Amino acid sequence: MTDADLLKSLAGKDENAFRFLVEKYQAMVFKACFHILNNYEDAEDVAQDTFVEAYLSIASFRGDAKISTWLYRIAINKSKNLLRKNRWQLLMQRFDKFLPGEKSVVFDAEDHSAHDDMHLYEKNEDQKVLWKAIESLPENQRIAFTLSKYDELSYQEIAEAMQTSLSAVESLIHRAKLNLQKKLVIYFSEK
Amino acid sequence: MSGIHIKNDVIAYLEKTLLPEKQKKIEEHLSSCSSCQALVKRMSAVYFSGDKQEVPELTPYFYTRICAQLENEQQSTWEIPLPVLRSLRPVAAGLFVLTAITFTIFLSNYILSGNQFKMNTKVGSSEMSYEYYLENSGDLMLNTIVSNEN
Repeated sequence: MTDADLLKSLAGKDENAFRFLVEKYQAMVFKACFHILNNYEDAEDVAQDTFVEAYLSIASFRGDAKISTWLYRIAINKSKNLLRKNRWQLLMQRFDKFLPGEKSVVFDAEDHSAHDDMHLYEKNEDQKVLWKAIESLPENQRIAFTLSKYDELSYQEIAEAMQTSLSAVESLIHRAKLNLQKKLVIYFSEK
Repeated sequence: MSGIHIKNDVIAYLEKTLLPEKQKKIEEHLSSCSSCQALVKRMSAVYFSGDKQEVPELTPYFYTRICAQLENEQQSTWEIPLPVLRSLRPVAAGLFVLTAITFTIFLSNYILSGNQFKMNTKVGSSEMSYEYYLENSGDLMLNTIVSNEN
């Protein structure tokens, strides 16, 4: 089934076409989310939300890009939202520590150190160091770098998925590598 | 080439994206500098460790979960189509601004009329008591004289 046929069937809310779409692209979407978010549960939730939004907003898709690019776009936006939400929670958690009196139950339940241990459980020591450094990169650098290095997307594909220019992607990846290098060199010189 | 320069180009060196001359210079330096050698070795191990990491498999119930979520979303969402909602945005914004202006006017009128009311009450009461005194002072005096005569 070509992309055009699939889109036509999806526009008609064909359940078989939607199943085909999920089965064809689920691994690709999940892999990208997993590399951006570095957490299995979060990646699975975002991948699920991606397909739900794809189904609901199929009418607004003009077909000017490949289906994979469109799905990457949704997944990237959803991952960004989650990263921002997590960052906000972490900030509130830190802020909460400075407040006198009883601590908020919500923030204590979402203990970030426990979260870190949980999502790094399948990694060896080198991978833990690497992912800690990747996690500390600015959002767009992190997304562009992981899509390029681990999802093996071309710079052009990343530019389309991130809705930016090719030169912006080149710059993002270059800066991501420089930042990673700086962080790792500091880490090794401190050790 | 010093160790500082190598630290600035480690990743490019590992990815072999440097110019051949620079790549060769780094290799020459590494052959004689054990600390830089150790750094490059550690960096290489960490930087390429991500390539070896396997992506876990998705749950086999992934599609079922999507269907369940879709069912929930369709039950909970309104039947108004998205373009209609989008076109209503300026109307909603206009209504909000209009309500805010009306509320501000109402509030300012209320405060001003409240103050005026208080002023009127004060002036009114003093005027009334003064007028009452003027109008009834004669009768009061007459009553006093009559009672004194009796």
